[in-house]
Amino acid sequence: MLADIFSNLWFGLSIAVTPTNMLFLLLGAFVGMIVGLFPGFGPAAGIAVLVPLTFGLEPTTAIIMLAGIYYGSMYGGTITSILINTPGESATVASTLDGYPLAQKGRAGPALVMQAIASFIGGTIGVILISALAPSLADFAASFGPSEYFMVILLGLLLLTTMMGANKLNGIISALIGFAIGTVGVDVMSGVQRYTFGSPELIGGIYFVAIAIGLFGVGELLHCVYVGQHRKPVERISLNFKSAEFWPDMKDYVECKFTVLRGSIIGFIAGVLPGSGATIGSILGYSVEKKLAKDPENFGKGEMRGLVAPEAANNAASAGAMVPLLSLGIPGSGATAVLLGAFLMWGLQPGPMLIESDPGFVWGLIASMYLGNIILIVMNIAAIPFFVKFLDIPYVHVIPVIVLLCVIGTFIIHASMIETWILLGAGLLGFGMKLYGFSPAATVLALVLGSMAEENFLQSMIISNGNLSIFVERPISLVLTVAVACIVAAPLAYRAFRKAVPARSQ
Amino acid sequence: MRKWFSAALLVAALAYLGYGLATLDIFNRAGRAGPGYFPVLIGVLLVLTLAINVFKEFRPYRARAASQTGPMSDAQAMSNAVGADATHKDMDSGDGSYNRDVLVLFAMLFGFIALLPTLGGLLAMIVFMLVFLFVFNPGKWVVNLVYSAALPLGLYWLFKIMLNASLPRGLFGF
Repeated sequence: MLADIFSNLWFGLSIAVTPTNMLFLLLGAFVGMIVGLFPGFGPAAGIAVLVPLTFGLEPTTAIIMLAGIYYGSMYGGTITSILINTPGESATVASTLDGYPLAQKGRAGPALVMQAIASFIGGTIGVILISALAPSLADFAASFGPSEYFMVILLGLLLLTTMMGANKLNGIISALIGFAIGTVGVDVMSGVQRYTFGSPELIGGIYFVAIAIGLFGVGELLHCVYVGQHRKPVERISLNFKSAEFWPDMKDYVECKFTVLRGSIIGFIAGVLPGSGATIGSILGYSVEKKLAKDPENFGKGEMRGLVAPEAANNAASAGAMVPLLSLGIPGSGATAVLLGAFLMWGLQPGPMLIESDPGFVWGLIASMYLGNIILIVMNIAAIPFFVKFLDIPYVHVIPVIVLLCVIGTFIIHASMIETWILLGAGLLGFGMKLYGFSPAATVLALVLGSMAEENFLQSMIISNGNLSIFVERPISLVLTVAVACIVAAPLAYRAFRKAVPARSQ
Repeated sequence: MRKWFSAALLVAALAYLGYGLATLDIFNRAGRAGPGYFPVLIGVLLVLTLAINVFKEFRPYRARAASQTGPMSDAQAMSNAVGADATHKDMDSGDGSYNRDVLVLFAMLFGFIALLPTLGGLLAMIVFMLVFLFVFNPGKWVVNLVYSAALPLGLYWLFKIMLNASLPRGLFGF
């Protein structure tokens, strides 16, 4: 098996290491760092806006660049978490807890370097594990039928909507909104037009890019304006990069040697679970590290392990999220949902057959993630002064860039004014969702997976002559159905138990 | 405003369900699931879940229940802070004092998109930039004018010249 992994990676490197692919990998990683730095423009919006720009590229090159944006944003988002206590990306929220206190203690330099190293190790471990797991999972998934695929999609969506946030109902509503938007267009089974209102532009359905850019780009932007991001004075950061104090001590490396490994494994496992992703991974990584520490009271006050754990976890998780995406075709987060949309746009069908039918693309992408991590750690450490300068740009100057990229980027996909108006509507919806605790990520995930879910559901119904027992007859779909039932029933049972226990004690 | 947002979504869900029931067949002639099966199923679930949401939002004692939450672990606090949205970024909770700015920006976005077919991509971008910067970055005339020209021209060069993408063409032919 080890020989297979090395041979596949060597093959992938031969695909990835071309001047064009390396150039676009570098560009994607750089753009990802910038995207991660700025609030209001996360990796999902960054990927969605740049998808139209990749039309002239080869599919492998395009996806390499877009994937570079995805994991590059994990590196960039931490810079603002450490320096100004503002997470640049949701997966870097946990990094603020000890990152910012480290900066306040005058250890911003060591914090930035350690986060880069932790991110590199976490990302590399994650990619090594992808190389081992993706083919095995794809082989396992080759036996999946429509009922299994439908249950995996449902499981992924339920995990995303129930693991994040206090309001699970809002998460479920968000997913249903995505499914509803996905029904616009022509029904693949019958050829009948649905919700097109006679418009020829809607016959092809509502393109996910317009919705993703609207929800994640315009919606986030409106929210940033709502909280006054554009009115905040710019905090000038001054760091002396040439001083010996910029670099970590030997003590930092020794203390964190097992932390980074633990964080990487936890993050990867969290990332592999559909619907979980880097945000959950980083939170879990931090929580576990704090629980295992002999001095948990130091966490939250500038403890290096409290920064290294979530950083290793979020990068490993971003790699882990590629496992279900590549081997099952099920994205684990909003950003990977947009990546899946890009795959489909390029005519690539992620799933168990992709590794067999297009091994060059899959292994080229995985190999590019190794190379991307190397580029990013060099870029992070060597170019931190350059990236920190971006923080000097007033947000009021960043807003027009985001607006113009979103609007023009949406228009050029199909030269459609209707899609541009849909962008605006999605932006308003995304703002409301952000404000009132709904989940734009669940909406985009459901939109991208909706047609797949419907097709698999209807195929299951045809096979079983309309009998729902098909979802419990096959062993794999039975396990998945039980898992779905547990996820739905567990919070209700827990709530009932909590109510019963105080009643008994009284 | 939260309850009105939920109420608006409920109205939209009812419209979605009603239109689907009126225009699509739930079952086809063979008795199998038709083009309306999935949309009606989604519509029903949407209406049910949103109705529960609206009921909860409009309940008078919701505010009292919200104040009775107990202590949370780090993980739950972070998870709640991040919220249901996995791309949540800004952890500040605004006090709503920038509502006006949001409305103004939204109006500018609306105007920008409305002007695209008339003015074309480049001119519409320049007009948007000028209006936006003079409202939100007042007093800095030189910076605003230079930026209002440079950014649209840069993006025009990137999209139109480098990528040969189709930008909106206005009455002036570009």
